[in-house]
Amino acid sequence: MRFTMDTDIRGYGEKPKSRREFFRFIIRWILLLLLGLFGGMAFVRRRCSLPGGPGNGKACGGCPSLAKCKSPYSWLAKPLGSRRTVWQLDPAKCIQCGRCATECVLQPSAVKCIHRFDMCGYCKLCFGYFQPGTSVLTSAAENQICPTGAIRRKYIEEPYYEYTIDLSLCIGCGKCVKTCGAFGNGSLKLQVCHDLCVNCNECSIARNCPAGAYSRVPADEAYLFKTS
Amino acid sequence: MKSNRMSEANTTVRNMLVIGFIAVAVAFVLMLVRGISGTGGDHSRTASRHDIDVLKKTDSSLLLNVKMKIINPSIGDLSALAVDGDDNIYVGGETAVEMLDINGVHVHCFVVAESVRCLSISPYGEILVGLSDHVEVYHKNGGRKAAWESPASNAVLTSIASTSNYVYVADCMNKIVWLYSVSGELLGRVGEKDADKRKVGFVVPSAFFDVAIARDGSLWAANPGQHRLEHYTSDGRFISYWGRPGLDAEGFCGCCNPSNFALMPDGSFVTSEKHIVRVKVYDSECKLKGIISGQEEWNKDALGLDLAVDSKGRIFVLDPQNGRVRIYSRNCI
Ligand code: SF4
Ligand code: SF4
Ligand code: SF4
Repeated sequence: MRFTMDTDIRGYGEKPKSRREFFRFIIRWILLLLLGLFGGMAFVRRRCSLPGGPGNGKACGGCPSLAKCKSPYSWLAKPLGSRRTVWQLDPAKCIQCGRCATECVLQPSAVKCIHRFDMCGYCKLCFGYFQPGTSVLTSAAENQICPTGAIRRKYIEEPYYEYTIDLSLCIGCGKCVKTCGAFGNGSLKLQVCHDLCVNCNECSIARNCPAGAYSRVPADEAYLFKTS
Repeated sequence: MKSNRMSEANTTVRNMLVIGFIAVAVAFVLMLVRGISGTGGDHSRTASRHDIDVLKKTDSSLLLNVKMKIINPSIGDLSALAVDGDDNIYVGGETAVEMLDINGVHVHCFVVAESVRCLSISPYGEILVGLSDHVEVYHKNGGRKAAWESPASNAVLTSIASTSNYVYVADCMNKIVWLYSVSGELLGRVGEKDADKRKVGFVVPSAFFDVAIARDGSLWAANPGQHRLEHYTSDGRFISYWGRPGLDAEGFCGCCNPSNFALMPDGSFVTSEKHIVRVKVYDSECKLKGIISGQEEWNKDALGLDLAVDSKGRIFVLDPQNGRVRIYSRNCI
């Protein structure tokens, strides 16, 4: 069918008055179609036909590897409602501003310091433990960087020491993370601990994070670590 | 007339409804997109600065008056630097070694099997290339002469130094310097930990562990976790050490430094550090002479500032993040 300015394309007996109105009409319908498409994607459980998925036409969302689905169309296939996500911070973006300790709805915060032992040098002079410039390497409180004494220092053998975090004392201030990253291997990282976090609809730390380090991540891959 | 006005009103109402519907649709789509990306937060606030920047500030009274020249090798991913007896510059990078003259003019380039980790030019003019776990020897024209066996299955080589009798290869994974003959025969281990003799050995928390040769043919090796340079006889017996930890200019900062060092023709030392990125010169009595280049002149996270010195005392510093070599010169150095 060929459209002309006189074609009754609305189908209710009214002819478009001008070229402008004709285009406005087309755009309106395109937008409505888009709405339908997105709405459909959000609410309709699509059938999986992807290799690695259930593969037998089951509704997407029941697959245990849903979060890891590598299909370029997987975000279309995944009904948004079925993908459980939690808040997590990306240590690569975090600048250790201190707000993780103060902005969480929980006090002490659900954010804690996690130690990546595989990245640690087990140093005698640990910059995550000692204040920069400490000359006498003893565990005296004034030598320690942690305001709550949450880091335990244990002698292994000369000159190696092991550092562990007492999570019940850690308030997530990030002071140790900052100095470990600035002067050491960067093996201390802040992370939202999901045995504590109540998964607020809108995380109040995320709202105030100056580095944009927070995002929602799949619940089955809830911890993010920078490895280099 | 009246019906005309009514039809106009109807059209207006219908248009408003459609526009409202479209607005809701757009808002819905935006919400979906935001939900998919899942990012929250007001990112417009500027990040607060911490006094770590103050700790990293260079004391300008210690800066040496040097001239700097930059040369730009053509190969990428620079990771190793060496200078030969004729003051030609060699850089190693992603599966290649490039030779340049002192003015930075490309002389030639040859391909190696893996990414280059370290380089040294032997007194015989051969190019010793450290790949991930073994050494390969190349003629000056790029022809491969030999590939030595890996000293250990988990070896990670970080530095090579050679004399007319020995080749020393630092291995950060085994925390040892491997001693080879010039023909590639493994002769022994230098600086090994010995708990019975209360010898701690090399402490190497990260992949920076450098060696260099003194004018008398003895060996100097960094002990970065102990913040020292250690002196050994040519056959690997410990003689002495110097260096201490410290954020001040005289000390070596952070958990493990110096990351690299080189020896000047007059016996003084050039060192480079990570964390507080700085290049310093110590005299032959191990006293700080001054700072050549401080943190302010480098990328915040600059790493792997490999060093070399030529016969005229010019200092060559690899700048891997920017893919270039800096050459510092001054008579008083
Ligand atoms: S609020 Fe953001 S930048 Fe600040 S400590 Fe937490 S994650 Fe890091
Ligand atoms: S310094 Fe802060 S983040 Fe680190 S362990 Fe102590 S309380 Fe936790
Ligand atoms: S989601 Fe709530 S409980 Fe979890 S870290 Fe954010 S503010 Fe704290």
